[in-house]
Order: sequence, then structure tokens, then C-alpha cells
Amino acid sequence: MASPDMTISQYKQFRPKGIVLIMLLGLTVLVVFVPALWGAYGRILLITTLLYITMALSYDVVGGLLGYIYLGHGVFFGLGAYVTSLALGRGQTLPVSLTLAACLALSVAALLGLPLIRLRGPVFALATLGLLLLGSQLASNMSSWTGGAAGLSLPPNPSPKLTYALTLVLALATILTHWQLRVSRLGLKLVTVREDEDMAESVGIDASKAKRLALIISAIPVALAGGLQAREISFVIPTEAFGLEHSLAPLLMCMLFKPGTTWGPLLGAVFLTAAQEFIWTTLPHFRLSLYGILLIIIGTQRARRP
Amino acid sequence: MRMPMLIIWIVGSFFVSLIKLPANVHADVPDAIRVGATVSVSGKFATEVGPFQRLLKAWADEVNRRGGLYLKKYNRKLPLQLVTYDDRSDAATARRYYERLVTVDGVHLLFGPYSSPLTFAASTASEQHQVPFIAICANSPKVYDRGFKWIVCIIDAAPRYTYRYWEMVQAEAKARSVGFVVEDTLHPVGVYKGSRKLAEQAGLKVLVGEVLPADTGDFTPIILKLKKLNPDIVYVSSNIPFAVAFMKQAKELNLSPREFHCIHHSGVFRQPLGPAADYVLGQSYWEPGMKYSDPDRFLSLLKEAKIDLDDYPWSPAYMMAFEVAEAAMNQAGTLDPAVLMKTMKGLRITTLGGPVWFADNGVGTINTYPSQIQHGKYQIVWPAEVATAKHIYPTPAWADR
Amino acid sequence: MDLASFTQLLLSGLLLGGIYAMVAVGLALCFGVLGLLNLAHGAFLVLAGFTYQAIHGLGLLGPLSGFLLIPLVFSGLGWLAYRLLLQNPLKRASEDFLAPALLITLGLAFILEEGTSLVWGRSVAGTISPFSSLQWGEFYIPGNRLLVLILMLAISGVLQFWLTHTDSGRRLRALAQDPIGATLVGVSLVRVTAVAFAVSTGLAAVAGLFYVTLFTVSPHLGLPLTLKALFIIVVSGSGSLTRPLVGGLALGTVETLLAPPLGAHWANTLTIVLLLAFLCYRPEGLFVMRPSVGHK
Repeated sequence: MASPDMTISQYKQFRPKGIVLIMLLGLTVLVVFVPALWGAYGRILLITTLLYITMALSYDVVGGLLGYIYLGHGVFFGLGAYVTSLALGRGQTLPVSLTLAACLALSVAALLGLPLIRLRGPVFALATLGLLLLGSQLASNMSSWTGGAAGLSLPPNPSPKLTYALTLVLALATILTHWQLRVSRLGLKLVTVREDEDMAESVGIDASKAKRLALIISAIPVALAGGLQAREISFVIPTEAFGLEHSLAPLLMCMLFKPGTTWGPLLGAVFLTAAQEFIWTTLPHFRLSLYGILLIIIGTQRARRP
Repeated sequence: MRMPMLIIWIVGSFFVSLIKLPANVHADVPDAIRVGATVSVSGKFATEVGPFQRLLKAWADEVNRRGGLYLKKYNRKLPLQLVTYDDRSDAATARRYYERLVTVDGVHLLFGPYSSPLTFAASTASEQHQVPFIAICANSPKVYDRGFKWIVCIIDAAPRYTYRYWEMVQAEAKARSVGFVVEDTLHPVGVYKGSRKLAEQAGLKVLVGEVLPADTGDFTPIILKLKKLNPDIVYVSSNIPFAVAFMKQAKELNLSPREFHCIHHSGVFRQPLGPAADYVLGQSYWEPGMKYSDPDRFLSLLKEAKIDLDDYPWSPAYMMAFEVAEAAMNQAGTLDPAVLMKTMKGLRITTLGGPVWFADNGVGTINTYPSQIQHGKYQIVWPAEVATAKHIYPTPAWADR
Repeated sequence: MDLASFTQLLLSGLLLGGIYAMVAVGLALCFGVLGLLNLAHGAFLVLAGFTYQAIHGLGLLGPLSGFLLIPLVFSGLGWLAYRLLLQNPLKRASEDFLAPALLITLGLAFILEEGTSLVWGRSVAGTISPFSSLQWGEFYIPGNRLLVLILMLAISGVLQFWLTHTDSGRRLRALAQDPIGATLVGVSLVRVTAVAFAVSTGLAAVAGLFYVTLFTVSPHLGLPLTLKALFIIVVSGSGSLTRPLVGGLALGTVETLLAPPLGAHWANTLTIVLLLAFLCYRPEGLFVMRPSVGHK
């Protein structure tokens, strides 16, 4: 796979078309036929998997390509969930609500990017974790709008098929975007910044701009994912929408195999859904420990990298 | 790549687990009555309902020891087959597993998960696939405002949660004013909103109603305010950790109203506080000494499931759900979902906690009784026909205990 | 607000700050040595609180011996956790150990959190303090909070003395200032870090014991508390142990004093905003003791 010591021209030629194309094809076939075969439950599992794929790949832009430990992914998930629910609650259609969510995520990411790009390493991780706390506090404090800590409920989903189709489109679009981004100029800049931020600046890369763009690109798909999930379960509550889980699961999925590639987070997402489904239906008492053990494994492996 | 075998194994078993195709729900004579539920074995509710999986199992085992439930249409007794999953205390997971219970496991009847948010999400699955759903600990009116036809709930709506307490206060006519301290989560806020109205109707003056974040550690500001306003009753609508911290600091700062009411005052509340928990009023579904239905059966189920009533005071509500399920299936004599649901809506039986019937929107009639901790024991103090002891009022000041 | 309630609030705030400071000082020790972000600090605290209540409930140990024994046991646990989980990854990744440490301790925090609720099966631990409140006129000073404050000062005094006046303390500071130089002159990075981690975990346990007598602990409390302590360190800098002490006291006071005018909800939010602002505009606050770390 791509290694940091490739020259740029080598890197540009290097397009692992085969793997991604086969995966996309397989995914599409699976996704189109499985709900018909297995009924509603298969559909729910697929939605979960597709949302996870979206979250993992969008996380990878900051967590893999840029190589930061980023715990603020859930902020945008929650933002998307709330904006979508609020718009739907005021009688907007799903596409309009999702567009609103994406626009707001874009502007919030652009704004938050201003202070965040000054930070590196663990300070960045810490600050983004703080943002998550702030998000859940704001959601429960602005109770006249958001229903407070009690949450916001929507009427039942009138068209589950539309939700499903949009989730599928979102996942495929995210895969394609990520795939293109990896070999684009911006993607290369991000990889360079990851390998050595000071050096990257000394060769004329505007690291701050690249980082801000990365934050924005990663925020939009996850906000849409949040919106779609809110529509799917017709209910949002601050502790879940802005929960640590929506930051942590993408981190795990992205880091599990090979961050910075398209197939790594994709496989990670499928793996995590499968692991959850398998372990949680058979073993109780394994909600957090599953994440805990994966985190320790990833941490230990990360230390092994040169 | 690491662990390739593990991945193949897990991904493979994932799909194998899916292939378990929908059970044959519409068979002419089913081989068993399949009952489904999720229990929060892990996550934030684990400490409140974690062991209830054992309670469900104890019930099913007991029924099966008697050969199962007789259903007239099939002219035989059918065993109960229980399917439960861990919903991790989160709404999305609960929704997912209820969908699984309905479509993959083909259950005939569902018991609800713990808490309103989870029930809200889970009941969409049963509504969509038309499976009778008995909600238990989920009393937010929001859940029942949606016009769902396939849901009933054992307990009364949250705003009425402590109505018997206010009846008692009005009848005794000793207290004149009340101050509310409320934890900002769904259930306590719902109870507060209803209680505030009920208190006003009972002729009390509401001096303060403060909603505080669930993670509040330091209660000095509100305690100082309460000392200044000096209400007769300090009413804490919260979950247990919040109430314990409040009571400790009330003692430290010498806040001595004539009565403390903490809506949840189970063993988990009493043990950390020790003697400081004495005289506190709270709400109980059932306490030993009450005579409705079959208390011995309930106690033996608790024993079999190794559940302590003091620590899990909502376990009687589960018993009542079992009783309702049995009565409904018995009267319907069939597992046909429409007939079962219709029977349930028209049901009128006396359960462990008193008579039960359901309103059109599904909300039931079981409500809590005010109970007071007296010398470390829970005593129901109102109404007279179920009371197990006399109400002690006023509570002695901290200095005089 | 009249003067009397203001004074009472101020007192309460300071005493609440004492607890925050206690959590922060333990964390700062670990932080100061390696910049090792131990996200499991709060989880250890919670576990200690539950353990204390269980032992207390069984009547096995008096409060005093509990207060002495549990921190010792937890130091052992901390040492073990370091040896088993952190030592090798950190040695291998001597250049960039912050990220692995962050991930590993976060994982540990989750396992401890679930373990705590599984083993003790309770949503809450909290014991009534064995000390009564002092009363001066209208003011009440809870005895245990006062004790926390006094002990807090004593512990940080002892720690400061240890760091500046004993050999092992000097080794620790040498390592913090210049790891390569210190290793060259024979300081064992592994051993010193293990000691620092153990002491820090012991302090978490002490804080847990006080927390459980003052407030209540719940299994999910660990991570938010760790974060609060981390923010305190960020704002005050980890250069010495007295700084997080002051920072903790300040945070407690601000939180309590802001609650009446703003409402408790917004007071919490405002403190987070303030802390985030500090973090963004003074990111170097984290690395006062070891400037080289922040730039890698």
C-alpha cells in the first residue's frame, strides 16, 4: 500500500482501483438485495453499517490522512441529528432538513476550525473532547428549542425507503469522495502535514488551510449521518446524540486496520458492526469493554509504528 | 493485515446469524409462546435493571414447570419461550433489537425496555409489524401521544406519578408549602411538572422549583435558597445518585424542613445515607404487607431470580406485566395478535399492585403509593386500605435525631 | 445576594475546589513526568470510592484504616497497570508516545468503568461523612470538606518536598526536564515512570475516598472528572504541583459562585467555554515542564 517514502508522482499513479471497485460493487449488490431477503432487521443492520461506513471514512480525513487523534466527530453527528429533527419537526421534508444540517455543519466546522487548527497532538484530542461535552450541554440547556435533557421526538418515519436510499447514497458518496480525496492535491498535503507538520510548512504548504478544509470535509458526511439516524429512530436525546460513542466508534473503525486508506476504515466499519452484532447478542457486559480492548490494541499497535 | 482469521470468523458469523430466517409466526398451531424483551444489562441503566433478565427467566421457568399456558384455540398448553437481548441502555440499540425480536425471532408478545426514551424508540418496531407490546417502566406521555394501537403500559402517566402523596398531604392538611429540587432528565422533569400542578391543586404554595443538571455535585446554592424560603416539604424529583448527594449536603448544611420527599428512595438510596435516610418519603409500587393478588408468588420469583426488592423497587411492575400477559392470553385463548391486543385493551384484572385496566391510548392504572422509611424499613402510609404504618410528620430536625 | 449567603457560597466553592484540586494534583504528577495523559485517572477514583463503600458497608475496616489501606492498594494497581499495559508501548514509541498513551488509558478507563458497575452492581456510592459540620453563627462548614482542604495542602506539600528534596524526586524531575540526558546519567525511565504512575493512582484513590464521602460517585463519572482535572492542569500549567492546586480551588469557586446568577446549567457551560478558550489560546500550558514534547 501507499507508504510515506513514495515520491509524489508514484503516489499519484498508485490507485488501488481493484480493491475499491470490487468493494463498491459487492457493497451495492449486498445493499440492494439484502433488505428484500431478510426483511426489516436486515435493513436496520444495513443502515447501521452504512452509517458506520460514512462515519469511519469521514473520520479518516482528520484521523487518518491528517493523523490527528480527533474526538470531536460526535459534535457534528449530534449537530446533524438535532438540526434535522428540528427542521422535520417544523414540517420540512427530509432532503431539505438534511441540506440544512449539512450547511450548518459546514459553517460550524469552519468556525471551530479557526481556533482548533492552532492545536496539535493530545491538546487537539482534549479540546475536541471538550467540544463534545459542550455540544451535549448546549443541547440540554437550550430546552425551549431542543426539548432539553428529555430529548426531542418526531412522528414515526413516513417513508423508511427514502431514508434507506439516502443512507445508501450518502455512504457511496462518502466512499467515492474519500477515494478521490486521497489522491487529490489536498489529500497529499494532508499526508505531508501528518508526516511532519513543520517540514510541510517549510516547503510552502499552507498547513492551517489544509487542516481547516479537512475538518469541514469530515464534518459534513457525519452530520448527514446524524440526521439520517435521527430520522430512522425518530428520537434524539443529548446524551446519545452528543455521546462519546459517535466519536469513539469512528476512531476505532478508522484505526483498526489501516488509517489513511479507503479500504481500512471501510473494513473497520463492517468489522465493528459485525463484532457488535455478534458479541452484543451473545455476551452481555461487553458494551464498553469491547471498545476498551480495541482501544488498547490500537494504542499498542500505534506505538509499534516507526 | 492482522487477525485475518478473526475477521473472517466474525464477519462470517455475523451473516450466519442473519440467515436465521423469520420464524413461522403464522403457523396454525405454534409450538411455543415466544415472548421477547430487551434488558439493559450494560450501560447507564444496568445498575437499575441489569438482573431483570433473571426475573423474566424465573417467570418463564415457573410457568413452564406448570406445563405452560393453556390456549383454548389450540386446545393445549403451550410453553413460554423467552428471547432477550441487551439493549446497552441506548435507544438506537433497543430499536434495533426489537426489530430483530419481531422479524427474526418471530415473537408473539413484547415486554418493553426500561425507561421512556428506549420504549419510545422500541415501540415503533412493534407498531409497524403489529405485535402487542406491554410497556413497563415507561410513563412519559410522549410515548403514548403518538396514536399507537399496539402498545399498552402497566403504569400510569408520569405527571400523576405521585398523586396519592398529594392526596395525603391535602387530606392531612398539615403542610402549607413546598419547594421542588429537580434533576434535569426525562422522568424526574415529567414527574415535577405533574406534581407541581397537583401540589397547587392540593392547596400548597410552591415556593421554588429549581431544575438542576444531572451531574450537579455541589448543592450549596439551592440549599441556601431553601433555607431562606423555608418550605414545609422539600420535594426532590430525581434519580438516586442526585438524591443521595442532595440529602448528604442537606444534612451538612442543616437544612431541616418538616418533610423530605425523594421520589426514588430504594435500598440504593438508603444504604449510603444510613440513619439519615429515616423519615424520608418516597414512592413504592408494592411493599410486603399489601394484600392484592398473589404476593407469595411474587416473592418466590424474586427469590429465584436473586433480586432484592429494596434495591429494585420497580420489580413489582414487572410482576404486574407478567400477570397482565397471562390474563390476556388466557382470556383471548389464542396468539392471534389482533385478538390478543383487543383482549388486552378490554382487560380488567387485579394485579399485585392493585386493579389494572388500560385507557384508549394504552396508559394503565398502576400507580405508586407514598412510603416512608421508618427505622430502615419501607412503610406504605397512604391510602388507609393499603397502608402498612402511620405517616410520621413532621420529620425531626437533624439536631434532634 | 446578601453577604451571609455570599460568604457561605464562597466557602462551599473553595471546599469544592479542594476536591477538584486533589484530583488534578494526582493527574499533574503523572503528566509532569512524561506528559502521560492518563485518562483512566477518574476511573481509578470511582473504583476506589466504590471499594471504600463496600468495605465500609461490610464493617471490615474503620474509616481511618480504609483511608490508609485503599490508596496503598491502588498504588499497587496503578503500578501493575503501567507495567502491563503502558511500559512496552511507551518504550517502543519513545518519540511519539502521547497518542498511544491516550488510546491505551482511554481503553483502560472503559474497562474499569464497566468492571466497576459489574462488580459492585450499584449506580451510586456515597457514605455519610464521619465528621460533623462546624457552625459559626449562620455559617456551616462541613467537617469533611475542611479536612479535604487541609489534607490537600499537606499532600501537595509532601509531594513538593519529595520532588525537590529527595533522590527519587530529583530523578523524576531530571527525567521530566531532559529525558535523554537523564537516561545517560543512569536514571531508569521505566522505573521512575512506574513510580510516578503508582503515586498518581494512589492519589486518585485518596481523592476517590473523599469524593465518596462528600458527594456520590457513579461508574460513568470517571471520564468527565478526568477531563475537568485535565482542564485545570491545562489552564494552570503543570510546572509545579501548587499550580493545579490553585487552579482547582479557582474552578470550584467560580462554578459555585456563578450558579445562582446564571443557573446551574449555564454555569457549567460557561466554565467549559472558558476552559476551551484557555486551551486554544494557551496550548503550551500543558507542557511547561517539558517544552520539547508539544512540538512533536
